Amino acid sequence: MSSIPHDHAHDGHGHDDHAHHPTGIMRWVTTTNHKDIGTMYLLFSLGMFFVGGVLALTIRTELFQPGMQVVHPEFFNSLTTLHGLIMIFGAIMPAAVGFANWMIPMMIGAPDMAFARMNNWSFWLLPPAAIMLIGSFFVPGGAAAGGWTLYPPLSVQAGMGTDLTIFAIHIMGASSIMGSINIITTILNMRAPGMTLMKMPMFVWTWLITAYLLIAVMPVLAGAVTMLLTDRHFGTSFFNAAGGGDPVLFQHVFWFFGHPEVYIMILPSFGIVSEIIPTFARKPLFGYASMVYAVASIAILSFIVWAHHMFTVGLPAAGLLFFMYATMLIAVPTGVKVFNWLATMWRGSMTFETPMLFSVGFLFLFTMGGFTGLVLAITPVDIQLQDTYYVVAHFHYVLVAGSLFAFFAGAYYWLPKWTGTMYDETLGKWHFWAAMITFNITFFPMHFLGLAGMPRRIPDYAQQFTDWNMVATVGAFGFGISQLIFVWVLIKCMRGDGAKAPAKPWEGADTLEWTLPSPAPYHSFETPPVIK
Amino acid sequence: MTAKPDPSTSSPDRVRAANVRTAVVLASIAVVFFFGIMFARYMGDGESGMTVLGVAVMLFLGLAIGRNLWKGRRS
Repeated sequence: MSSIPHDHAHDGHGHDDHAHHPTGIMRWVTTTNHKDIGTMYLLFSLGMFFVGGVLALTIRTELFQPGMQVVHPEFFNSLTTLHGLIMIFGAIMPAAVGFANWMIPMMIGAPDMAFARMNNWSFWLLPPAAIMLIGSFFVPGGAAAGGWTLYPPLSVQAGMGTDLTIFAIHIMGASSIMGSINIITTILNMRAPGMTLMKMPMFVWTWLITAYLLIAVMPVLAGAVTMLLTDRHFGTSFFNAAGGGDPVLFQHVFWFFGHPEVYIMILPSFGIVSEIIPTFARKPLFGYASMVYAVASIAILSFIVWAHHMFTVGLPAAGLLFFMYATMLIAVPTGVKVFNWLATMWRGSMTFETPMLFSVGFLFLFTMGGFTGLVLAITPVDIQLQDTYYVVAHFHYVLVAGSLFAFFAGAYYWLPKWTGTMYDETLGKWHFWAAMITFNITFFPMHFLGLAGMPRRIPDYAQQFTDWNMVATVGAFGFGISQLIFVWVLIKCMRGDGAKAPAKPWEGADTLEWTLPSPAPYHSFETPPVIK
Repeated sequence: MTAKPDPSTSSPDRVRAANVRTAVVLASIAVVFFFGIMFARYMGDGESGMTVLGVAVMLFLGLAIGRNLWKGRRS
């Protein structure tokens, strides 16, 4: 905890009071300040988002036409594998942790995170892991190529790139677990007086539940990849059929992690959208308690649906039925949330600034992704669509239009608080519309491709799929270029090029961070506020 | 939600001790899951996983109850 004895938050120059801290690069290396660490997480995830994006554009370039054009098939497999791993572990998850670091202490009236040094360590584990992951392209045999799921037997037989990937996952997993312990401890023990659990902002609630999910499932993934490692190098046969092991066992263990992981990526986004929609509808969130229970229900249900990723491996009929119905059940709490967001907007005095545009875009596209998820939950349908582009379309609607759009919404919403400068609204709207249109050009045709039977993770395809692949590739480049608008907005804000942001730039906002000046002072809430 | 500064803060030592307790409990969950999944798969039967979780829960309860009893005697 901070040892600064008095509150600088309201003296007008609180944000200048870190002159006694190291400056330059050492400020960032040694910092224990939640805002600095949040900034580093967010910038790291933005960098990884562009690395993963370049891999995606290479994939789409290869798929522009049938036949082999640009890359070798083995390299194509590495591209799809690393694109998934980098986007999930390098971009989406660190971005969510970045938002948590920045906002949770300010939203609950805490001076900092509970374990400030561990917070620094959590972040600084990520760059070496990212270097290992990206560096695996350059080792003999190339990067891992068995898909982000690392299924054996491919991952048991592959080269050194898979070892680097396994170590990177270990390190990122340790970082996530430490971050989660920090977040849960902060939320449970360091809330301001009067901030009961049921008064916490929804973003804090969603992160509390997400952090529990992370602690439950990241060690399982770490265990799975450790067993993979011992199979590869130490003569065990957990998943090696030649030694009496069972490759399908890995799939069970992996997806016990993998499905909750989907909710780890989406629940913080739910939290962000739940902050933004009431602000711009100028109404309190409809059904706050039901939202909390819905998030908890989604988290619990996420543990009992993992085998819907494995409908084609030969499960018994009772298992297929159980996992089908359990998966459909998740639509109920998710529907509650969508209904509550719509009810919050109903008859509200809505305005559509960029954060609200991205939130509404999220709501529309995430719901579409949810519907296609329901389609895939139906076992006989999934057996037809397994490993086709329909699945690729589905999870990109959930994770790009879901997680990513919500993170953009959150970034625009809190940029004035982070930088003290209002972002350029015109550029923000350009960013939204460009991203919205090009996203749909990229991923909507993939539904048609999948329904027509185009398999995923294949660098070549039958000529009948050419037209929609060309459309998707054009859309993908448009989507990539549209993100440069966001970088432009970000640079303008960080340089202070724009109107000065007031403490509360959004009239409908009512959470605790808006009681602080903009930019938020280096040390905030050293004297805890009292919540009425 | 309104806020105003309140000078009555909890003792930093008590908060720190509570933080460490919470962190130890959470970290122990992670450790049990990490080693438990490997132990269960190494043993190769369905009961091993339940045994690991059962032993972990009983140990946790034993520690928590024992700690409370010990603190009660001291005070």
